[in-house]
Amino acid sequence: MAAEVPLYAGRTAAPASDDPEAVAAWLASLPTIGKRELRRGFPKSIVRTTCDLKEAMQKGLVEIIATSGTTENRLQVLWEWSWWDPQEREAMRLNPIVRGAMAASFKEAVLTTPVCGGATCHIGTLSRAERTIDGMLFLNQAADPTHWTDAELTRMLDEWNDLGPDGVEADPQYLGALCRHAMRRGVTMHSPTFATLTYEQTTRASIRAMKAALPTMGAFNLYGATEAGVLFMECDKGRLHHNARHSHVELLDAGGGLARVVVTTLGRTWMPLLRYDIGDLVRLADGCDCGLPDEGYVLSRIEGRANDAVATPRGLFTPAMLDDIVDGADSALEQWQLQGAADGFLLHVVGSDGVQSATALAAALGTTVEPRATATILPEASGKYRMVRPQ
Amino acid sequence: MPNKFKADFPLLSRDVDGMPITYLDSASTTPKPRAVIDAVTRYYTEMGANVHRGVHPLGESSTTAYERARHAVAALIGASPQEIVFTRNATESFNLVAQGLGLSSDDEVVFPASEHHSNYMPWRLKAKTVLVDIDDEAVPRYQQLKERLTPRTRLVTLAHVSNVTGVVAPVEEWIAIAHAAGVPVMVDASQSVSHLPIDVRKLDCDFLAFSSHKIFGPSGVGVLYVRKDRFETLQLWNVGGGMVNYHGEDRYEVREAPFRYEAGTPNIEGAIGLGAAIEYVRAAKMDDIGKHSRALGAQLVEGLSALPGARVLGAHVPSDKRVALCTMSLPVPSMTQANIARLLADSHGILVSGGFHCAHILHHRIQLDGTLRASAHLFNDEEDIERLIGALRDLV
Repeated sequence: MAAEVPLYAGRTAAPASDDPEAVAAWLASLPTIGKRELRRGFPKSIVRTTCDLKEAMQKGLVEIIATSGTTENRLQVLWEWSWWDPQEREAMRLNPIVRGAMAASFKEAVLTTPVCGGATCHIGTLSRAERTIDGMLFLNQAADPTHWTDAELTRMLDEWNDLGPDGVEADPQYLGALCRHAMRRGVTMHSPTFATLTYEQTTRASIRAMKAALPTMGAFNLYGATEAGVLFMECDKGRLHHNARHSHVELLDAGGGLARVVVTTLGRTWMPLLRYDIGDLVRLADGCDCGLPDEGYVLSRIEGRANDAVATPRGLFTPAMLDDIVDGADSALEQWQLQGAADGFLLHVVGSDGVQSATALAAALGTTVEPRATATILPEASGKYRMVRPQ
Repeated sequence: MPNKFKADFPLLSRDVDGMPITYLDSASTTPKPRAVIDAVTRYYTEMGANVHRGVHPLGESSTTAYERARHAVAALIGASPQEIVFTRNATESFNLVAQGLGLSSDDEVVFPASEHHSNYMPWRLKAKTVLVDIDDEAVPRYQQLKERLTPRTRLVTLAHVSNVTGVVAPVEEWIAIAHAAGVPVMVDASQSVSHLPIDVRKLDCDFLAFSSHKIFGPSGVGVLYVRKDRFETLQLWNVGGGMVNYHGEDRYEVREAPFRYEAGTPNIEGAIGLGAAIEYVRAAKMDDIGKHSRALGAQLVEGLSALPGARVLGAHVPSDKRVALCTMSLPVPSMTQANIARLLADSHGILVSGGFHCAHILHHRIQLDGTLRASAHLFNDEEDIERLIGALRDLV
């Protein structure tokens, strides 16, 4: 395959045998790629020379979509339904609770970045019917959730309760905000069997809001990327299991028990990835007793974007580690963001004065952290929140 | 000990005719710290794209930086970003409300006679103005508010801090009185926002306005805070690009607030600079700035009042109810107050305002043909005030 894709020209050919050790050695000999490489020359550089992209697009087999990655990491992707859907469903089925709920009459709602961004589509407000695609109801219409009005939040709650979804695909920050709105308004939310949390890092505060408003719902991380597929699914024991039939994953040691995720996609006709560094840090688990067959890596958790980790003389602090410290010191907070400053950091906190968290963080990082209480935290242009941002 | 903020302001290191400048005109406009200049430059050198439209990285960076400024403004005054409308200046904020409320000539707007023209003219054009009197020192007779309210009153408005006297108004009391009568209140925070901590939730005001350039930010950007529920009462006023979600021949759909009030390409670099300015004052701590301002204000009043024949406006107001802004009339034969201001600049490098400070009615009422205004800020110190007082003492 490698020889047919312009981006991988010059790479050594794959070994003739399927011997795992030989394949691993071959992969390890190849360079990794990142988003920059995927952007350059797209889409021709990432399509096999033997494939006719124009024809595939005309037939609707593949389309070009933009990822909702954070500002400096956005890219366009060749979206192949015939590859995406099965691997996503298969990943979800790794969780027995999710698998059990995905019956024929399965009702699903989506609460993530909007189905269509107003900045590019200019389609105005969509009706509920227009936001229902393949049976899935897309709740959000705002590119920036900090501009959700009370009326908009109430409209989403009403639609949620009216649909009564069995499962929800949600950005954890968005769902946390909706749950808090319901709690403040005293509205009881229909409890789905499960929510798959995706799009961005799940914070403890988001989980706390979900547990308060939806105590019987199972909330499970579904980890992957639009360009790479769904790589890991959280089981009911809180471990993340590799969706091994659709991707080969390498975990490159990043020190301190952390690893970088490098993906090679399997069975993908369009946009095959060969040693793609997804840019996140994860932590490996010592296995899991949930009963799933051992088909690949098991993670204890996703640690967040490598670029957002804070390096100090005391070591590297990932976004998840920072969340442990910040939220661990103050369970009243709803959201936080750490910002670099001239002499330390500013800690923007929603829902609290941030003093306890800043004190705890300063002690852990060994630097000054000034608390800044705020009403909202601005997401990136993509609609995703960044937990750590530069000065 | 040298003032620790002064070095942050490149402008303050320049001279006039070989003399170092003593800048005492912050009520007119504030100098800009390096952080603000850098933020504006960074927009031009690293982003440079339009906002809310871009699908490329520069457009997204511009949008993020612009919206981050909106969040900074909201955080500074305890509002939500949805409640912050960017305008060209405080004047435009008043005009937006004056037009947006759909006032008629029978509607009454109540405010002190001492208000700046920006908080006077918009109401004069759209409605009937009802003035609260001022005393001989130009301080409003605040207790008159109740008797000025009628069933026709549509709005009460006042300056949080007077741009002429530097006196802090009892806005909380006025808001309580007006709200008890079912009347919304607009606050002009132009002179207070950089001197005092402001929390719109505690004030419970309905509208609040200020200009970026009065809080160390660039010119050409203003802020209008609108309490969330008050947007329903504000009609569209300036329409065009950027404020619609959909525009077809059959219908159009406007965007949510605040964007529906921000038609056209905004002053992107100005807003980003304002965001940096807010970061600057927050780092300096608003409480500390307030203390410093009150101390310099007291020094100004005391020192200027001691000058022979000086008439200092609002001198009777306690020092904890004023900021570092003091206006006076100094009797010097055959010289106007503007002449004195010019002389201070030319002979001493001391920069103050001389004239009417966009408050003609105030000056008419207290029968003064112009005044001299000195306004200090966080980069000034006691020596600056002493320099001014010494120069004026020599003059008289």
